Amino acid sequence: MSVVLGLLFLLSGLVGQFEREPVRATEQLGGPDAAFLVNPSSSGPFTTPQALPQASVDAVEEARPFLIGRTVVEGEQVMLVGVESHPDAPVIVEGEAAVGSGQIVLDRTAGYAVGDSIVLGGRRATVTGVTEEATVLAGLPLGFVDLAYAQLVVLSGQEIVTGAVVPAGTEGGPAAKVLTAADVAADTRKPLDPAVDSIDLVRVLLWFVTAVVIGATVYSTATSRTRDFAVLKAVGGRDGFLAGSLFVEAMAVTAIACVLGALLQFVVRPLFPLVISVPSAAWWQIPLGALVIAAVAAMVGVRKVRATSPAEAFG
Amino acid sequence: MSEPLLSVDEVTVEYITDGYSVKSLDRFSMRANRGELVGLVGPSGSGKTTLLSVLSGMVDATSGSVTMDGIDVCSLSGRALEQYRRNDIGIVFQGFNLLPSLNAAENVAAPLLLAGTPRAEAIARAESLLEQVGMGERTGHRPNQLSGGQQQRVAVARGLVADPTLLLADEPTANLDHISAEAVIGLLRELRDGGRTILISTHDTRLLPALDRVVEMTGAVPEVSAASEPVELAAGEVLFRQGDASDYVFSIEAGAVDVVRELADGGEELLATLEAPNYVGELGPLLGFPRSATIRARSATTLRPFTVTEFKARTSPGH
Repeated sequence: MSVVLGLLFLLSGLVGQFEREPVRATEQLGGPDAAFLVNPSSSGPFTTPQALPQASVDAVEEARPFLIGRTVVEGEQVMLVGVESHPDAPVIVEGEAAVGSGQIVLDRTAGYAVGDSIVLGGRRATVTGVTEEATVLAGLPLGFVDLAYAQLVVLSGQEIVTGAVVPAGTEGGPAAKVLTAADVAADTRKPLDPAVDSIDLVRVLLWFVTAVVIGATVYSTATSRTRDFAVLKAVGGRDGFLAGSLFVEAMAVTAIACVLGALLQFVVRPLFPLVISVPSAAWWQIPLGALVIAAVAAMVGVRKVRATSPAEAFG
Repeated sequence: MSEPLLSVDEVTVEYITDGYSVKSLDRFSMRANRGELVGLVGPSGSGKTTLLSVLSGMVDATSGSVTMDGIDVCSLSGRALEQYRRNDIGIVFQGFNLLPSLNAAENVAAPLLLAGTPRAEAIARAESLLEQVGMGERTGHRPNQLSGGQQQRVAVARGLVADPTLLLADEPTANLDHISAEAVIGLLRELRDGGRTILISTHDTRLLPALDRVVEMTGAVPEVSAASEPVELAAGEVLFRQGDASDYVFSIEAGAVDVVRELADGGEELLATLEAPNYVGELGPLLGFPRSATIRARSATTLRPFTVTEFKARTSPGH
């Protein structure tokens, strides 16, 4: 029972991570209340980066232009974000912002620490800071660098930008459109939709398995002890007391299984290549669902208890 | 002479199985006096366990009455029945029936705990009883850590925990080796010597000398020959009915009889028609079972009754 509940927590955590990842990545790019100026033919800055005319950027006061493009760090893909540093974004948990050429802030999942020397797109660079929860497309780490340095690494120095962080409520012009943070997050998640839907389906199926396992466990516990119930009735045990005991036991066992399942997912979590982010709602929804299933199964068991004749104790 | 502690009068228990009714007890009567060790003796299916179930209020008698220490057991229901079961009757089940997840003391204390007795008090009483039955050193052992004889001692202690007036023991020596059986019987006799009334069901003949009184649960099969008195039946007349106590084996000398099974819905099922010369009704007396079918004359019929001994002699090889 604990294992299936643990798996349920893990799958919820996977789906939760796929929901959370684009939101956090968008926040790391622009801060908590930003909007994004992009080319009108782009669906979003992370999925379809396209050149944005400099004039469109210049037309908006307080615009912070950025360039997003994929590159390679020590043979592993990284989504490189060249953007003017800002106090709110990205949130650096260790070290300091990357300033000028040869410096980069990398997400922790890339596996580098502050001070590490790396090869970035064929050039030597130093990790100056580390972020957390700055990944896109199911775990592709973001690397934050100075805009000019990103243009050098990705575009061999061409002064092209693919978007700009702008204040929320900014109007787009004829050569640019404005996306809200929610738009960007939804667009960033879109490539993962088939995977997320598949995991969601597995999660639904796992709920059926969970129901069968809990139901079978609770019901078989009741039916395998028919003789015990008959004996207890024969020596004066009341139906109500025995039924209540069975019900409480089913609830307690299921609650303990939920706790063990939750602990189990913490143990298994590091084995996953992706960050597992169990949504806060799952912490009460899964136990509640399990307890409801246990209650239904216990009611069937309770009926069995009530139907047991004490004379069965005579065998 | 003082009133018997237990009076069972004309008790019949009838139930329906596979569409026809079966009487597991048919107008059964018995008495047990205070301080007596009484044995209900008979083969499997003779109604011993049914009688214990009726005495403990777990099965309702179809008819008849049971009085235990002035209590009309058949009229009890609800709380009164629970109180009776909890306080007036102690039961030792066949196969011990100890709860595997509880230790010996907890098993013995279970009836008290179910009645709401504080745990410490119930366990203390249980430990005292376990001491009394020679299990004082094993109060913390679970059933799977005890031998069969030890488990039965714990079961006896549980039966005594509420200090009942009557202790019922269903096959207390079944599945026990002779050493364990002797110890259990010795224990029951000690309890009897202390004034307890004990009723045990058994088909273990080793017990018989140790009992104060034996109640045969098998209907007495007559050994007096009736061979000289044939039975004449007109068409439609019944020789015996399904559920009647078995007595004679009948030889059909003339005519024919129908063997019919009486169904629970009031209907009948014709099983066979037997014509002379033939025997009918031999298995009931041979096995000690009640009649399993009704015999009705199809035409004017003459039958001659034989005892089981006579029947065996007539049908033995070489006769």
